[in-house]
Amino acid sequence: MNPFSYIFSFLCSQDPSRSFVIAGHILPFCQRCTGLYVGMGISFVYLLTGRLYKKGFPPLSVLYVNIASLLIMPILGFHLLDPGPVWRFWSGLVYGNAIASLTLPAASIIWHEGKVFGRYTKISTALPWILFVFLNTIPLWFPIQSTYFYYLILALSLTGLLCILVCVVLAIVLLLKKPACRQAGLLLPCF
Amino acid sequence: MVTQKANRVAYTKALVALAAGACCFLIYVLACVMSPVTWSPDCSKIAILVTPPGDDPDKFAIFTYDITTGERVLLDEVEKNGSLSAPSWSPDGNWIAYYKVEPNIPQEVGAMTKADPNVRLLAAEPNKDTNQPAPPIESKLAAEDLFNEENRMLPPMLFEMVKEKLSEKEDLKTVDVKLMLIRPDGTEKKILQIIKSECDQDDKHDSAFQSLMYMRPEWSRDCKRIFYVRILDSTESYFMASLDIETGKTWAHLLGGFGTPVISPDGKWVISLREPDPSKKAVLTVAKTDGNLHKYFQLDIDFDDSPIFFTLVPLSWVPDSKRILIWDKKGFRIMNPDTGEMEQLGDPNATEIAYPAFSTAGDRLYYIAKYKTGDPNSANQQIYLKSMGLKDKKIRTEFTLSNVPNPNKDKGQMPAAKDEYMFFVSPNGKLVVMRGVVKDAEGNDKSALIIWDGKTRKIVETDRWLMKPLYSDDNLTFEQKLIGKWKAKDGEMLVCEGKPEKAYYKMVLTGKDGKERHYWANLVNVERMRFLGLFLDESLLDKKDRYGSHLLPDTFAKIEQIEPKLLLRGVDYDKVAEILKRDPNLPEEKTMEGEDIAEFEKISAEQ
Repeated sequence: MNPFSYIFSFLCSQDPSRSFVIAGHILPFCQRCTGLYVGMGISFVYLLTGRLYKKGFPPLSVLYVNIASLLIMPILGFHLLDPGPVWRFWSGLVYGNAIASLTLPAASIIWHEGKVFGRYTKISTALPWILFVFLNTIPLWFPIQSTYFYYLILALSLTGLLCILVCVVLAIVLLLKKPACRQAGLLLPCF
Repeated sequence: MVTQKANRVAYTKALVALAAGACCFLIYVLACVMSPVTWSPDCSKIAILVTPPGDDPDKFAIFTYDITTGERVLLDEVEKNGSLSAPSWSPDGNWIAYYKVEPNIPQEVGAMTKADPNVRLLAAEPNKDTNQPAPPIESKLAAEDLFNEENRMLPPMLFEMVKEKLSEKEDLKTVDVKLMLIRPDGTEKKILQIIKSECDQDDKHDSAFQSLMYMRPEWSRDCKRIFYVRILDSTESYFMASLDIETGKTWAHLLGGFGTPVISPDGKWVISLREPDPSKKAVLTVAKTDGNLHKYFQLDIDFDDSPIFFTLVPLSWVPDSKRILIWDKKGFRIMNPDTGEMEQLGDPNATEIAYPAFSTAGDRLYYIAKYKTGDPNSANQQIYLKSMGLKDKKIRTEFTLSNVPNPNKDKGQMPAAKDEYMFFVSPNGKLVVMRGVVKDAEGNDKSALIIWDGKTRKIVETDRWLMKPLYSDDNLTFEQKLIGKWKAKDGEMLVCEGKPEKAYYKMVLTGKDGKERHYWANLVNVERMRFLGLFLDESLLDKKDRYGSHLLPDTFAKIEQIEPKLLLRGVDYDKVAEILKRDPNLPEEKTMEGEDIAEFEKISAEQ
């Protein structure tokens, strides 16, 4: 078992009949998880490089779409509807994007003790939409049968996984460092 | 002050958002890790036994196949002298059960009458490594050892009669039939029970264990028990028993004429048919699984010459567990085992109906029906998936099965199980899968799954499933000398570069009659052997999937020499595998006399 398969064996059922094959290599996660981790990876990279995360949460219109993306998962993810591999992958992508769009700005706000830097303008509001549209086009051409593409997907997936872990761990550490928490020995007073 | 308050609100919102995001991620991960691979709710996954064409196959493999995605998972396989049965999916979708005979020679166990009371049957060892061959029988058996289940058969006199008949046989041979369990994704496999079955190895074709491919174990609805059979070849019957998976306790139930036990949905009844007597009247045996009741019914049903009888069980329980569906070539009948009353279910316009399957809700009966076409001069007969309401008896056409491969077309019969053809109707009535034989572009027989969903007809050739790549991408090479126009005794061959260039060849063979045959070929260099892997379908060369489809040609041509004349020897997959297995230190095999070697002379180097 290679290290990627080992890591993702804790996070995915790794059903080979429901996993993508890229250039003869089987991905170490199922089609929906591929969408989730790739979606998170792309979104994290996009938000970090565009420094959008510093502006706080995205505008309400984007937030509503993100919430809708999260609500789709119980329908598709729990097999109430299973229209095939493309839709499995798509539902993972938008779900991953929604999680990244929530957690990264949230971690930034917690890090800066409630401060945000800048605001979404009309132009910068378009940026999360561009990302969302781009993510929706990926299932149309995914996957490209190339070894380089296989490693790119692995790298993006690992990035997505690491970023969510960093965000959560960072938030927990910062919460524990807060004086109120230290005194009470609890996280609750911070809320 | 205002800023501080705003920051605190933003901070709280951020914590809620982060917690929500993290929870969504965790819930998803838990759901994905915990969810088992199951029979999909839309019935798109099947477990199937795959064999090469012919009624005496030498390879057996069980696969799960996802009809939607086309993905398959190999669960188990055996070659030569071994055998696998049809698989049986547990109702909860977590396990697949089947029988397996390892490819070792059955042991002669001596006369049953000379039994040594101190010798016991080797006990089954659950969870044992299944890659090990079956253990040999160490000594002679006692008659009782063939029947180590707790007897729930009534009357016991029948049981004694069978034992007596077996004891009379001096040259008794047995084979170990393993009752296996495997996860649908192949991740876990175990032997549940080793069943001693009688077989006659001298007559391999008719041997009982060769008929294993038409048998399968059956599950109780609660998945706690498996019903299995022990083959008793000399009495031409099957000893039906069940096993409690948790406790390992076994019970004998009845003697039947079929290798597949038929269990009522409530698990309280087991039925079978005894072979028709010379009067051709079959006997239906009905037994309670707790052994409290045993009934026999002589059926006034004509099974004579039925294409289905003895390969498929013409019995099933109606979902209410109170009635039995019996089918022969004339149609379906529903019998009440309490009263023995029969009700005929017919499709008045059909010339033949078969392969019944009850809907998941239990309110409809799906079946395959053959109708005569309107054209009185046409030998063609239309085949449909039909359904009948069990209450109103109204018949509905679900869809037409177009272009059904049928070796019995001239006889006016449906393709039958004994001719390697078998239909499977999904419980939702939306899919029909047929295991059969189709012709490839060369006119050769190929085993295939033909799938109808009412809109499309899909053919999935399965012979390639039984092969493993004999070479890798590293063995692929390109030889410019092969490019050009070649002339042979019987025609011409044009060899040019495929696309992308120098990756493979395109070959066009033109016979004397002007008929063209097209191939796409890889040049392969393995050890001392050089051959062309010939594909009939160009798209396979780009199909770099996990099965190595691009390394599994339809046929091979061994290159004996290229210059001064090109000498090609046609070889099949098994021959190439055999040559590659040979010790490289042995002298190279000479061409056998009469072997087909084609000689080509180059007439032009241009493409």
